[in-house]
Amino acid sequence: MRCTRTTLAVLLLSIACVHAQGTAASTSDVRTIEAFKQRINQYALLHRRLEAGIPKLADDADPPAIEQHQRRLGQLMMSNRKGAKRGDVFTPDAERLFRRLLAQVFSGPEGARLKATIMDENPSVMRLAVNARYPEQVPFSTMPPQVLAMLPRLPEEIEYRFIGNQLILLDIHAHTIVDYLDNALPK
Amino acid sequence: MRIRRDLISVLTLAAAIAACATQPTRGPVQVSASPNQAPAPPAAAETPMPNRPDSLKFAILGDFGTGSRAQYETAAEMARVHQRFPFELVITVGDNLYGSQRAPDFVRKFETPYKPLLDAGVKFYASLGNHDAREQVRYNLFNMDGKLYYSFKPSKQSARFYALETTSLDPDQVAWLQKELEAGREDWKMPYFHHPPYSSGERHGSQGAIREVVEPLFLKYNVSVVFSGHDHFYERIKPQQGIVYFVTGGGGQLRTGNIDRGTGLTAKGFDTDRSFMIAEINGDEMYFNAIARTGAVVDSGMITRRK
Repeated sequence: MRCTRTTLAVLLLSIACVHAQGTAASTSDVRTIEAFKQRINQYALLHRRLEAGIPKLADDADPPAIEQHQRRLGQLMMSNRKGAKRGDVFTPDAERLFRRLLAQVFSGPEGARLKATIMDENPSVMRLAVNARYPEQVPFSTMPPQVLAMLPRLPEEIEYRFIGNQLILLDIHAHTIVDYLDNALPK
Repeated sequence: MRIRRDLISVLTLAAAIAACATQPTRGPVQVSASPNQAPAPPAAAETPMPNRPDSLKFAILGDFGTGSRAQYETAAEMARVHQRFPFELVITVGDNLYGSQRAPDFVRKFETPYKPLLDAGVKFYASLGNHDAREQVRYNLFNMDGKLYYSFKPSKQSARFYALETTSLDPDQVAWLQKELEAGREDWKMPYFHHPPYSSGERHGSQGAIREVVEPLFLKYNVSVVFSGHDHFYERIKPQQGIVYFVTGGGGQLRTGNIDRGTGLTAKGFDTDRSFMIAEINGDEMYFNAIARTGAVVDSGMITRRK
């Protein structure tokens, strides 16, 4: 009983926070997020279908098998998304919303610190391409939990990363860039 | 409506975590070690490892996969230590491979330098750092079983390790950590991951964004020690709210002179050569040594777990 009351109190507090911070979603935001999720889920479905068609990679594989699997999947994804281009997932509506969400996070009192965390060991400028392999020598940016909590959740095959100030969608099995958003970090 | 639900669930989690922080913590950890804060020469009065037959013996290694001569020499020292102190496992705190991560790199940057340990049956349990390709989770010798974050219980003593993935600490992972820590019945709960909640590194330093999220859980669920890397040196942090944090990111990389002595965090630091750690748990006590590439013990001590 006590647990239920506590949970309820926390929930109410959270709802209050949502309204107090002005982060409650408008109908058009909800539509934009839903459409974004639909596009990324379609990508994930294609990924799963193609991955199911190649030999399964064991959870305790050796490095040649890992590399072979990764490259084979990357090639399959590329050939099935030949016409893919920047903005297919981050459509103009989604771009605007993501920039707004990120601006909210980074304009807060912790914004400078969060930005510094992301930019740590992060190259400032890099030319990216959809379907290209993640650049081999570039470390992964740290994604602070406070930033991830503001963004729509992704299917397990995909994660958010920053390369410079570009937010990318990374296919972690194929090691390729699904789409990216330029100038995602506010100046 | 779903976005609103997402936001609510995220904020619920954040509020729950914040609520954890306000709960009273259990007794502080007891650390018995030299309080020397100067750059560490070989310790004059080191605490020897008891090396008992039934204890849990393990090593901690971070930021190592360079393929450099320095990494190989440090690995050779680990193998020498293993002969007299037979640790059964190594936990890695990330940056297991730097740069290219094609198949031959796994051999040159991991399998060859640690071959004597691998041949002796020592198991490596990896966590990933910001230089690590995500597909390392499938690499058989890292024992991650395809998971970015996981926990495991070693064969000896009442202990459990929690490997986290702090380059992308999303709400799902935080919820998993809370559930795992809550369910853990072991006396020693030991999280390890790449980004240090506390560090005196001038290059990176304390990772506040990570700390805000994980520390309340560590306090609530009675964690006594935490291992991380990222900054390329060894540092033992003065106990923070009863928890001892170690930075052990000098397994192959090194940032000489990078410890900022002005932070007030350092119980002991070593930033003039590569290093790794060994530890031994027996009952409520954990003994530890930090060892340089040369074999010099640069820090040592004993921690009594929080109860």
